[in-house]
Amino acid sequence: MIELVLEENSADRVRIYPVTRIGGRADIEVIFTPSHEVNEARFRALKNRNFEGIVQGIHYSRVPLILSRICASCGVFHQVASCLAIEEALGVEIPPAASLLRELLLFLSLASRHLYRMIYFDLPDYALPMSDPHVRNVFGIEKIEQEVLSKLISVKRAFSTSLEILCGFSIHSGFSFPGGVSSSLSEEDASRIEELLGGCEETLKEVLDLSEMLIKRDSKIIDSGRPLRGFYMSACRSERPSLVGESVTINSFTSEENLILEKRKFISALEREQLTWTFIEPVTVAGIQPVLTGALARANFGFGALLPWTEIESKRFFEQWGKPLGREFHSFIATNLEIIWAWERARQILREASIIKGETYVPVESGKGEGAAILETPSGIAIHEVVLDEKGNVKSYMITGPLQINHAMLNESLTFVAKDIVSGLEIDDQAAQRLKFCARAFNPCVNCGTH
Amino acid sequence: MYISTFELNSCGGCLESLLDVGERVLNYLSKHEVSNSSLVDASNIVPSDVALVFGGIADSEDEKIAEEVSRATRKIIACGSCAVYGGIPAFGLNLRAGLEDLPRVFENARPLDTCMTIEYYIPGCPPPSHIIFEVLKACVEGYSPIRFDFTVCAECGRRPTRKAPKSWSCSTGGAPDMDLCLINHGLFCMGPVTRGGCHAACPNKGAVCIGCRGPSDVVLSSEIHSVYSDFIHYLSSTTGIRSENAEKIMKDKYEFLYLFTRRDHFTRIRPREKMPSDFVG
Repeated sequence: MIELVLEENSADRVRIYPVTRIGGRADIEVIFTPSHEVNEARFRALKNRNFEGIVQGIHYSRVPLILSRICASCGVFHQVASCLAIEEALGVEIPPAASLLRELLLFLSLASRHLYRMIYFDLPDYALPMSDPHVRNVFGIEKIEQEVLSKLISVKRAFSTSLEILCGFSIHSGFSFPGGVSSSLSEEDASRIEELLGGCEETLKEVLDLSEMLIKRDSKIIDSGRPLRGFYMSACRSERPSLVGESVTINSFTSEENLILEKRKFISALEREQLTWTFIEPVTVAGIQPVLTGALARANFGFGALLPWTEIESKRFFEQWGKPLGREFHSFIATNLEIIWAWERARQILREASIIKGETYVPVESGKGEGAAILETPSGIAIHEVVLDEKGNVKSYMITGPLQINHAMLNESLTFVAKDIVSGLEIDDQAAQRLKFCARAFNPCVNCGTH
Repeated sequence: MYISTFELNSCGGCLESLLDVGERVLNYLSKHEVSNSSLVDASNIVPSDVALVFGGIADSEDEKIAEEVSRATRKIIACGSCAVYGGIPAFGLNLRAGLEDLPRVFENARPLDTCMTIEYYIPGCPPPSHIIFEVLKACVEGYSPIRFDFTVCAECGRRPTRKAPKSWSCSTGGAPDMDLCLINHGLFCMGPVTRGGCHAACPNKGAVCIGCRGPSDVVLSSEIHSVYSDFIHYLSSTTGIRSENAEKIMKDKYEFLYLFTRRDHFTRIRPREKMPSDFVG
């Protein structure tokens, strides 16, 4: 629906609703000057979740399970982040095998969520860019590229099945809890997962080739995007992206500037703002703006020589498109790279002997304390901060989601595109699709953003 | 047939669970016509024969969509515990003031059947993929879906011993013996009072059942049953402790039992009225 809103004493605006193929409900508003030129375009989150409020007064043991319900795609990441924050608050150190099993869970989930997003959200834009919007969806792809779709779904299935073997459910499982994980991995189950992942290697290569082909086939897509300016950041370990972060590295898209902030410093540098036109509360880091977080930001750091396949592919992409990858549509390439990253790292973890034999949890005693965790979700950095009272009940809980961080850059890009393609108060269907396409490139997860 | 999916106050998990079926579900939907879905670029609500609705009603926009869906759809399936009971968001929402042109957020999320007639209910957070797909097919093709009238324990590989645990823990995991019932480990597993059909995926992996599929048929069968009283009964019979002691243990853990359904009066009234024909999931 494209709706023109004309109100007295207020700027004319056009509302594009809904933004489909994203997590949660949102619209895009294009606001015009009195002379009917585009003033700005903005992404508005139309859902408010309040999970921070819901966990107030709740015993810590239930909190990670509740918070995993913020969002299906990133639920497991919120669950683990919550466990880490609570464990820090209670001074708990989990056994090494439990850490490895959690890492395996996160990498399998990362690949599974990226594939879900790729198949159902992003692929239609790249595979059917010129098609009628009504067929530009997974059902349209099924009609013309059934084989490609089958392959993608088979890879997604391999990761979902691996998650089911590891923790019972691939969505909202109870596997991770404060103190560790709920079950160990038997040798037999580890071999089954290894077999499933090993079995999709060739298909993954084809998926990567396909993505490259789609991007190259329509280089106009890449060129029509705005070169990103500002900064990108990732939770890092030894200067490489890491899903669990003890520090955050912030690099500039346009210069050699970089800033490394240790976890506590990073959290204290976050500044929140309240806006009246969206449920999102944007966050800036140490006054730095705009900042990008998510797959594209992580990929720009490079994944390192310990992951040979991912490193080779990263280098190849940097040679082709430049380093850092600096246009919003490069996020499609970055998502592919991260599927390889997750695949390769998950297989490495499976080969570690301690994952089979070690203890999987430690008993946790209730008590008061404060803790925080930084975790990379598929759409970017999430921060969980908790304060517990003497009984172990939540006194306060604060979550920061990736969309809060990406908000400024997303709106800058939307404004750039709108100024480029919209003239007058009329926005045709093609322009509306182009704006939605731009928004999707930032993987805007409204559920995580409004938590 | 025209099929739709709608997401109201949903995390997206129910749709993801349905799509986890893979190619079979895509082929099935392609054979029919998908008139509305967050996966396609349809912006107006058009008539459908069957609609799967995910999520409860949490704000004025959800309410507006729900009313339109109700008018435009022949058969509606409430999918997921948020749609069936209001789910976790039924605990309360964030009422921020001073917002412009944004949906008015309600105090609590509420279930779908507060404003529309539901053909089938599929509780779960999320419901397992195979159940959503089977109920969808049943609704489209006009046959009765399988009814999951057993509890989570019926599918659990763990066995109770009637021995009291050394201590009780609020933890949701941490059971070294993979064969022993989690209640005998001293964990508050809601399997005995929760609807089955999920293959007891959580308890079988050492994590307690937190009741996401809602109360079982037994709990819903009469006024003398409730999640709380039945759980006390099972806690006592599984461990051999006296029921007054079980009640003492559970005294300050009431909220553990109602994470997805809030209170008995809340879960009871509607589903029970519609028992036994339509509560399938």
